[in-house]
Amino acid sequence: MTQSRREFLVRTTCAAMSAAAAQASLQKLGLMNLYARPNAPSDYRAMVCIFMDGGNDSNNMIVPTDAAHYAQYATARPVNSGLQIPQVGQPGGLVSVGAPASLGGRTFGFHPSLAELATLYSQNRIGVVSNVGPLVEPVTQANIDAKQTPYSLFSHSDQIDCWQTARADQRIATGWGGRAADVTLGCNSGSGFPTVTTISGASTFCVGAGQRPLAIDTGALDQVLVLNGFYGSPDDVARKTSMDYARTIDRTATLIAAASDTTQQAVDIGAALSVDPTLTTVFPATDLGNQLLQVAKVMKLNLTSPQLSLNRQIFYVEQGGYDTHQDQNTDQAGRFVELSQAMNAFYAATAELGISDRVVTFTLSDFGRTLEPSGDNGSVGSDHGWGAHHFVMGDAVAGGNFYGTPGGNGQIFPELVVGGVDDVSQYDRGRWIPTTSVEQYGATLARWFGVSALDLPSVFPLIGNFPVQTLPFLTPGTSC
Amino acid sequence: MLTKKGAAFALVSLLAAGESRAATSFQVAYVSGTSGPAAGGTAVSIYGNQFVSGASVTVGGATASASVTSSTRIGATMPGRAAGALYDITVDNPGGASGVIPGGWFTDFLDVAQSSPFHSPVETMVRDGITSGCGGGNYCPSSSITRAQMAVFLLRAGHGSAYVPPPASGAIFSDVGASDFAADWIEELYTEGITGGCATGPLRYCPNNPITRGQMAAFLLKVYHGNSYAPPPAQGVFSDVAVTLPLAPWIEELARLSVTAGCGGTAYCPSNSVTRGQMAVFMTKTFHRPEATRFLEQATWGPSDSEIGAMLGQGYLPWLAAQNAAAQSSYPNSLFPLWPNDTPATCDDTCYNDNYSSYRIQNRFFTNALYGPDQLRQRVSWALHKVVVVSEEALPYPFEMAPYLRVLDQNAFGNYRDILYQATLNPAMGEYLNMDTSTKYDPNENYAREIMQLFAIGTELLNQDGTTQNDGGGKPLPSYDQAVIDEFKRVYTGWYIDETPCPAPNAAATCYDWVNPMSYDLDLHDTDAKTLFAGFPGGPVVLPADQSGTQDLNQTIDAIFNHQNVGPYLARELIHSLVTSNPSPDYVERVAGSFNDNGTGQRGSLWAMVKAIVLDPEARNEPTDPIYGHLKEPVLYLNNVLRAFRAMSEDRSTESDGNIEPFARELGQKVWKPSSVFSYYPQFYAAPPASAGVLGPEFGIMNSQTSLKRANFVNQMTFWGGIAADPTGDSPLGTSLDYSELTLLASTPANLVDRLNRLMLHGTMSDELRASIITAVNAVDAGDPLRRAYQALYLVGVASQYQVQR
Repeated sequence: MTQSRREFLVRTTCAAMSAAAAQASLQKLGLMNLYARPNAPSDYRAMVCIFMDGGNDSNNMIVPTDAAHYAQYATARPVNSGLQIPQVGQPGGLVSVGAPASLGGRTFGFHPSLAELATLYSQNRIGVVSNVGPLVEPVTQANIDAKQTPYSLFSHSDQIDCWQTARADQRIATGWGGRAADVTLGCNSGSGFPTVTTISGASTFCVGAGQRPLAIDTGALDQVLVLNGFYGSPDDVARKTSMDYARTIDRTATLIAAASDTTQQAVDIGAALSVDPTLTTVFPATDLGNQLLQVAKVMKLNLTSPQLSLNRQIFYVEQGGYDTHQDQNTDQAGRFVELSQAMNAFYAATAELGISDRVVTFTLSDFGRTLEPSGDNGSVGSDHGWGAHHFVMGDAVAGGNFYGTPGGNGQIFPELVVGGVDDVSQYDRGRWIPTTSVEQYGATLARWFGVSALDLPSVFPLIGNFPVQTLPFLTPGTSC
Repeated sequence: MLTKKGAAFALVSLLAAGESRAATSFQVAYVSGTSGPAAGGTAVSIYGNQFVSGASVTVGGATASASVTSSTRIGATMPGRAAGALYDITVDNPGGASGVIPGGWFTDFLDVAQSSPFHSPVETMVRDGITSGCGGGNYCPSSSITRAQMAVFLLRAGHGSAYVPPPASGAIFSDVGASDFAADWIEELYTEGITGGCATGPLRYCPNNPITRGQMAAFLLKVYHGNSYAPPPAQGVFSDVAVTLPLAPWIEELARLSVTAGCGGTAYCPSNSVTRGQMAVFMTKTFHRPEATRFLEQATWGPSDSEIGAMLGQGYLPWLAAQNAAAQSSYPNSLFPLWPNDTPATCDDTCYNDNYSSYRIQNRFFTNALYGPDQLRQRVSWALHKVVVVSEEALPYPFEMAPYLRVLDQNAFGNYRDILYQATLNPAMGEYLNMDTSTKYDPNENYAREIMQLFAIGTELLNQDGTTQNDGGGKPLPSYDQAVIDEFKRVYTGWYIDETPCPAPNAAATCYDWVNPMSYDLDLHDTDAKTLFAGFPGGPVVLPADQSGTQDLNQTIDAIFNHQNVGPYLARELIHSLVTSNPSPDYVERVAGSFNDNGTGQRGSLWAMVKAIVLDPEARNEPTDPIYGHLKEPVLYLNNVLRAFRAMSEDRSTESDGNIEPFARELGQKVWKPSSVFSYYPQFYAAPPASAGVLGPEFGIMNSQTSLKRANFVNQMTFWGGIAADPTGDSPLGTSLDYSELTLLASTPANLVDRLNRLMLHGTMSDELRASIITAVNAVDAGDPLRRAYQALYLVGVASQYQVQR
């Protein structure tokens, strides 16, 4: 009785449910009009958020390679610190990405484990946004004591919230992904399928005031929303009939109706996830690879299934392991291999689907880390910082360049000097005061996605505190 | 700094609008202490709203000595009144409003004192209008009860106290004439099919015979279920009740319901007569099951037959007192001793799993919930954990978490100031919210902010009824600003987690001391003067310069503890966790009032608060408000299912190992590991659709994926046979439910479904749902009673009626 249970999973609308019953169920939920939608989205755009959990040390992700600036880096992270990435051309050295137009003649390299991303960058498919982070208002080293700074800087949970809510001044329950979905709902009118899909739990980023995000695991798409224990026997059919009926009754009590509707949404979406699309693109069999594969499969289903046919989608995935207080060189390299390979495969998958110009993938992380190493030789790492560099990927991105806002050194890339002009103070350890805010970073993505200029402040309420709303790595798209 | 409000606060303002639906008004809600000696002198608390100093209390017209201790409580000493009767309690505000608790006060029978084991059931019988005693202020608890008297009792229990049977004909029983005592009742009992008489040829009723324990079993259950009910065949439970005895099935069912445990040893004594005292117990335990079941849904991790019986035998207040005194299950140091923070090289996989993973402390949560006697303490402690949060996200080791959990358990019925103080200095909290590294050189504001925002006050000023205080323009008034936090953060400086020699088996090593409060280094403490709550309610509180860290901390905790928001803030959170997501402002105000003053002038009593929450009519009365109730959070849902059907190990030879957390996680709730200091789900999450503005915080973790996992858990415990024992895995013993009774009932699906309805839904299943489930059970082969039981339990378990506690 207890063995082999897991082999017997069936989809929620299992064989027991007739096509007519499935139709009736969809009709009830207002999903029926999905069938009236065109077979393919007319103006598809998707944002894909990769959250690098733990606080990625972007000081070793992107490193200046011109002699003067590499020397600064090497001073802060000398060879004997155990945290230095060798120069381009050296064994285990940086991968050159040349001189971005925005930084004059300065040259840069990516971490050697990011080979695929360096290639995509050279193909202008990836851009770098440098020194971005949570801000309430613009801050400099000179005025930091007089200005309002984010609550609980350097704290994981709080800075994750700051990044995901885009509200560094106060704690709120919704995230900017969810709010962007709220204001672009009109683009998806008529569809009962949620705009936001998360493969990594309903993180704050995904939560809006309106729709609830779809939360699914990795694995075969037609198996992620299943009710176990239904094999099509007559009493299974009777049980399914009864439980489906039960969600339609006893609706006088508000919370009972809400529970029924939540389950009904799951059952309906389970029905919509009726196939497990296949892709030619091969994804690495890693955690992040599997998550991004799931994203690509939902995208393919959306393009091919009249039950979805969304014009706007937002996805959220997460990669853990970036809290590198110790053993950073080994651990971060491993994370980067996974990241680079998975993002590369995902880009290829969007190309395979013909939407590489309609999907923008971007990274977030808790915070950057101290330029000054922590720990002693052999178990070296870095501590919690503030501003950090991030990747933005897709054919809509003006790639092959760096974007940002000039800081203490007059350039968009911080001066890699502990206690230098871009540090929190001259006594600090190389924690960069962000020069571009999460609001501006997110607003650039959201405007491309289709958030109108009018709606932008409801998604990013602090955006008015900054001199410009967007950076030029993307151009605003049409709103609905 | 005030900036534009984001979307999240739309929920809050919707809530505020919802809460303002009923302005707090004068009302007399309930009395705590409902009975006492006829001579008077009993001190009671009368709870309500807008009591004014000088309000008078009368009991059945006689004046009670009364004193208004707050706008929500009057302390009264009951006057003497004739014994064995009910009296209205009336409260009159001076020159103003008046309110009544009808029959609020019961004077004890002269022969059934408060200490009598029959007291509570006898009071219940009187309140039900079934009996008014045997005359002269007595109940005659030791007298036997005749079959004629029983007829009256049963029909009043079945039809209500006002029921009047049609006149007797005298033509049914040869020994019951039309004008005999209780003839109308006896003939009606026959007409309704509850009795077939005591003998035939001619048909007789034996009205003057004492009723036997065996006969009583059948009578009670026929009234309880309806006359068409046929109990399942007897299995042989009592040594003196043969399975062939016609009354055996009834007697055994009464035992299964914990109405009786027999007459001693393994015997039932079916031929013994029943006294009037015993009858009161039997009738109360049979006919008041719905209220008891519903009470236990709120006050325990889930009703079970044995707890229902125990509760009904005692009454609410004695049950609550017993819960207060019950041994604490908790997370004792002996089970979770300190280990070095760096895992010893000798620590193998098992050692690691036991001492460096959350495995055992999560299992302990479930075994405590399933088997611990301190059910109410556990529910309150869990509610407090969701307010005063420490998470395994940052404290992954069980020896780090256990001392924090003990602070909550030990003080769950204590004073909230002790929780605020002890939690502040708890090392796990120090680590979680960064107080342990906060120094005067680099003060960290994290703890300063969270203790106010989440543990005690909230960001907006509250009225005592929990509604938000607004300025003239309708904007909420903030409780504090960044400058206030900047001042507070200097208080919490200089504390650090000490080190201590490790206990065995790591005696040579040094451990961080997670057990004792954090230590304090004066050199790192900011000793400048501090002014708390400057410019805000609660302030200014000036801490002079050069105080010790402990002095500063005590005065600071006092300042927070005495803030006007704490009562309504905590009242709202605890009510949300135990009773309803959408309490009326009046209810919140009454509970906050109990926090502000427990009746003897003490502020912060959690015990007073907990009693105020569960005894309030808004908790006790069957709800009519459609937004009442709350979605069961995952751990409550899981424990409800497991406790109702006596979860044990897979082979049912011993207790479950408690490895249930993997299911809680699938349902969206990692036990002890909330994703942030915001706890497991957002405080102000609106139930979908959010536009309706109805709070449903637990819906924050019920989504497409987790909603189906709820059903899949029930499937696991039913069709998939429970959680398999895996001697080398995380479930060495496994977990299974007891289907012995359900399979007995399976031959009659209606009986099976009715049984589940009573135990799982306190009898509130809708007719439509009942009919649908019976149809589905009938689809299962009658020759497979276990599968029928699975079918029925699955369908009740997944029903939204069961997901939401109302």
